[in-house]
Amino acid sequence: MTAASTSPQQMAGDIIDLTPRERMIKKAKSHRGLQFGGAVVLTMTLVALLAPVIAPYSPFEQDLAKRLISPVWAEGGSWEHIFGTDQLGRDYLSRLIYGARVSMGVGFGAALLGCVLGVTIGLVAGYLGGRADRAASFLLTCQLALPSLLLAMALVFFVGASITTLIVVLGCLHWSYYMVVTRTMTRQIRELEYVFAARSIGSTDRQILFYEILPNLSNQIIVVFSLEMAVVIIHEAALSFLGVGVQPPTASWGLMIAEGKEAMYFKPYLVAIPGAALFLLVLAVNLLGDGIRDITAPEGRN
Amino acid sequence: MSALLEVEDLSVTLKLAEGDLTAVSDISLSVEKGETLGIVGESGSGKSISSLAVMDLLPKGTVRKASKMRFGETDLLSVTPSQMAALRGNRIAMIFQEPMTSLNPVYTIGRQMTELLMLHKHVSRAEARDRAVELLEKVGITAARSRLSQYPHQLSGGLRQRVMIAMMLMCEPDLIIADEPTTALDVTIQAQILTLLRSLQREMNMAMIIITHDLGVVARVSDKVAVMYAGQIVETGKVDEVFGKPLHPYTQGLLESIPIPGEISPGEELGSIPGLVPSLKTNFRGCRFANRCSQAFENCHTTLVSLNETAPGRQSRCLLTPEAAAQAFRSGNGPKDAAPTGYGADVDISGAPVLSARNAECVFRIKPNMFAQPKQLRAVDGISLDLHRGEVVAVVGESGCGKSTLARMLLGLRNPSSGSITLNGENISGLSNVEKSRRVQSIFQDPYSSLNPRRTIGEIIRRPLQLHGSGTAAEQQEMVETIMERVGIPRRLYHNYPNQLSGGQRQRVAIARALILKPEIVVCDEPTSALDVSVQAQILNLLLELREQMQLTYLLITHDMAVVEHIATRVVVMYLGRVVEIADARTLFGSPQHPYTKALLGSVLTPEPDADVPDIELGTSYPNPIDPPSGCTFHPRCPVATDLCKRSAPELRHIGRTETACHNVAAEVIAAE
Repeated sequence: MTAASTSPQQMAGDIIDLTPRERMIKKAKSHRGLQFGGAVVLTMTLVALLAPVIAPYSPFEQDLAKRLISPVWAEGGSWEHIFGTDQLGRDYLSRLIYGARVSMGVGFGAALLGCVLGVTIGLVAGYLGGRADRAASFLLTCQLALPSLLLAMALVFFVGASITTLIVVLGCLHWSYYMVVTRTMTRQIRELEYVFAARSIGSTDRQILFYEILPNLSNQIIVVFSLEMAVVIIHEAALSFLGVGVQPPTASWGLMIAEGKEAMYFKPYLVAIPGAALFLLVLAVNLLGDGIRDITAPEGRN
Repeated sequence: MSALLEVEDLSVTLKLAEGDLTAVSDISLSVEKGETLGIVGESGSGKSISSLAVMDLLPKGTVRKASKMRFGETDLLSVTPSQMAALRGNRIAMIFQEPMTSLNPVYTIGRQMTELLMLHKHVSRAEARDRAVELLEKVGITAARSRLSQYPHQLSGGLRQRVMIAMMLMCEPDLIIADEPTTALDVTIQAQILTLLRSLQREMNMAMIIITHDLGVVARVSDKVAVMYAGQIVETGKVDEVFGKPLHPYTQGLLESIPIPGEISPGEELGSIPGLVPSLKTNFRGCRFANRCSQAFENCHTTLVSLNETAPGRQSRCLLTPEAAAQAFRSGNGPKDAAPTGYGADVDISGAPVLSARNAECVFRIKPNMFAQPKQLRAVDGISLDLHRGEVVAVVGESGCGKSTLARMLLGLRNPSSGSITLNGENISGLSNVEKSRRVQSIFQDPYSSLNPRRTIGEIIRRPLQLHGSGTAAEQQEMVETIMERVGIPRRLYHNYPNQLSGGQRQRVAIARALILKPEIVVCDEPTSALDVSVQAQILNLLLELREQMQLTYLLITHDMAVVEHIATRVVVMYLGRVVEIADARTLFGSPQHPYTKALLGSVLTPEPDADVPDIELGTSYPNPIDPPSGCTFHPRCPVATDLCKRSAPELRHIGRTETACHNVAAEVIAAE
C-alpha cells in the first residue's frame, strides 16, 4: 500500500500496544478520584492498624477533671487534646483513631461477606435459572420483607454483641443488592454468544462462570460494594447508637456520635468530628470504587 | 422542474469530548417528485446522519451546516421547531430499520395510525380510522379493520413493517425517507416490502430516499444513487450508469466484493477492499479513500479531491479520468460464465461421513402460563444430514426455520430430544466437552457478542489451548501469534480488547479462536451477516483460503443465497424444522425443484440495475412454529398447493440429483415416467 506517512493505519501501526496491566497503571496515574480515594482509604487503614502507636492517649482512660474540652480550633481548646475530650474526659482523637478499627473492620468485613453471599447466589440463580432461580428469588423476597435494622437488633441481642457478630449479622443482611444486580446481568450474559463460544471450545460451567461471566460483572459489583460499604458503616453506627452494636467503652464512630448526642447542642464537635470521619471514609470508598471501575474497564475504540 | 428536496453542502459535526467529528461533509442531494434516490455506504459512512439532518432530528451536541436546504417551498434552514414538527410525519415521513422497536408496544395499531392524522390534518376519529383501514388494505394486510385493535407484538416482523409503511402514508407525505427498511427482514419478506414501496411510490407520485448498505436493494429500487464513503459522496448518477460503469474505485470495489452469479465462479477469490474506513476525526489532506485504493497515486494523498461532473447528472470524486477509472473495473476477472469450475469437485461424498445426524429432533416445551397445557415447539423435526470431509454444506432458510438449533445440536451444545448425532461414528452426547471441541468448532454470527469484552484478543485466542492444556505458555503464545498472522490480525492487537476492533477484525479473531485447535469441522452460523459488504468479501475469502490450507469441513448456516452459491458445495433447504430439499450446489441453483427453494432463489437481490424487484408469490407470512399448518407445512404459502398437500406431509424423495419433499414434484416425475 502506498499510503502517505500520515495515514491512520500507518500511525496506528507504529504504536506498540501496552499490556492490560501497563494500560491500567497508565490510567491510574491520571485518575484524580482514584488517587484521592485510594490515599484516604490507605491512610485510614494504616491509622486503624497502627492505632496503639499513633494514638496520643488511651481511648479508655477517663479524667473527669478534663471533661468536654473543646478542640484546638475552638475557644478553650489546647494542643494537648487536639480534638478535645468527651463527657468522661477521654481524648477524642485517640477514640477516633481506635474507632476507625471498628468502623472500617465492620464496614469492609460485612460488605465483603455480603458480596460473597450475594454474588454467589446471584450467579447461580442467573446462570442455572429455573428452580434455583425461583428459590433464590424467594429468599430475596423474604429478606426484603423483613425490616433489616430490627432483625439485626434482635440477632445481635440474642447472640451477644461483639465485633465478629456485628460483621456476620450485617453481612448476612446486606447481600440483596449484589444478588439482584448479579442475577440480572448473568441472565443477560448467559444468552450472549461468547458463552456459547466458551462452551464450544470445551469450557465447563464453572469455567464459564468464573472466566467469562464474573469479570464482566466486576464493574457493577465494585459500584455496589462501595455503596454497600457506606451503608454498612452507617448501619453499624445506627446499631451502636441504639446500644446493640459495639459496647462501651470500646470506641466506634457510630458509638461516638451516639454518646455525643446528649451534648450535641452545646458541644457540636462531639458529633461533627466522628461524622466528618465517616463522611470522608464513605466518600473515599465511593471514589475508589469508581476509580477501580474506570481503570479496569476496557476502553472503547480510539 | 425544480426538485422537491434540495440540499447543498450539508455538513454535520459531532462535538465530542475529544474533539470534533465531522460525520458528514459537504454533501449535496436532490430528489424530485416521483423519484427514488438511493444512498449506499458502509456503516459509519454518514448515510443515516445525513437523513436525520434533513429531518432535523440530529442528536444534541451536533452542528448542522448547509448552504441550502429546501423542501418544496420551505427553507429548512430557517424554519422554527414547531414548523418543522408540522412537516415531519405530515409531508416528510420516515421509515426506520427495526420494525420490532419502531412501533410503541403499549398502544394499539389503530391508535398509533390515527393519532398522526388527527394531529396534522384535524380529522375526526372515525374518518381517520377509515383511512387507516384503507391504507392497511393497500399495503396488503388482510382483515384490516380487526388489526386496528391489535398491539404490535401480535404481528410478525413483516406485518409490522407494513403497518409502519401504512402509518407513514396516512398524511400522504411528499417525501418518504426509508432507513434500511428491509434489513431486519427475511429475504422473501424483503422482496415483498420493496415491491410494495415501489408500487405505492409510483401510485402516489412521492419522492423517496432509500438508505441502505445493500447494493442489491438500491439497484432494484432507485432511479438515482449516491455512494457515500467516510462522510462524503464519492459518486452519484443514474443507477444503471453507476452500477454498470462505476467510476470511483470505491464503488468498483464494493461491486466486486459481492458474489454475483455469472460474474464470478463459486469458490473463486472475491475482490475486496483492503484496510479500514479512516477515522473521521482525521484531518484529511488527500482523498479519503486513498489508503485503501488500489489505483491511488501520489497526488491522491496530497490533493483534496472535489466532486467532478463527468457527464450530465453524473459525478465522481476521483482524480482519475473517467476513462481510466472505468477501465479498471472488473479488469482482472471480466464476466465469466458460471459453467463448471473445479470448485467442490474434489469432495468425495461416497465415504463415511465425519458428522452425521439421524432423525434428529429438538422439541421445546412451551408453557404460556401456570395452568395452560404445555405446547410443543418442534424446532428441528426429524432431520438426517451427513457431512463428508472437505464439504461445505450450507443450511438455508428463513429465520425461525430451526437452522441455528440444528447447528447447536451438531456442535453438541444441545442434546437432541430424539434421534442421534454421530461424530466419526461416535455418538456426540457420549463425548466430553473437550473431545467434542477438538473436532468441531464454531464461528458465530455476531462478532460483537461472540467475544468476551473483558478479555484481550490474545487471551481469547489462547483460551482453547489453556482449556485443553496443550503446550507450555511460550508455545501457546507462539501458536496464537501464528494463527493471528494466518487469519490476518496484526500482532499489535494482541493486548487490545475486542471493543477496540472493527467488525471484520473481530470476526477474524473468532475464526482464529475456532481454528487454533485445528478442528476437522467448523460450523459457521451466519458468519458474515453482521458485516459490511467489503468486509464480508474479506471473510469469505479467508474462509475459502483456510479450507484449502487446513482441509476443513464447513457447515454454513445462512439466509444469504449469494454467499451460499459462492462457497457451498451442497445445500440443505429447511422450512419449519424440516428439510424440503437437498442437492449439490450446482444442481440446486441450476434447477431448483421445491417451490420454496424457487421462492428463496427468486428473492435474491443482486445489484443488477435493469432488473426489477422480483415478484415473490409467498402469500402469507411465515407460520408460527408452535402451531404449524397441517400436511405439508409449506402449503399455505405455496403457489401450487393442492388438497393432497393440506392432508399429508411429503417425504424426502430422490428426484434426479436432488432430494426434495414435495407432492407436486413427485407427481410430475411419476407422470414423466
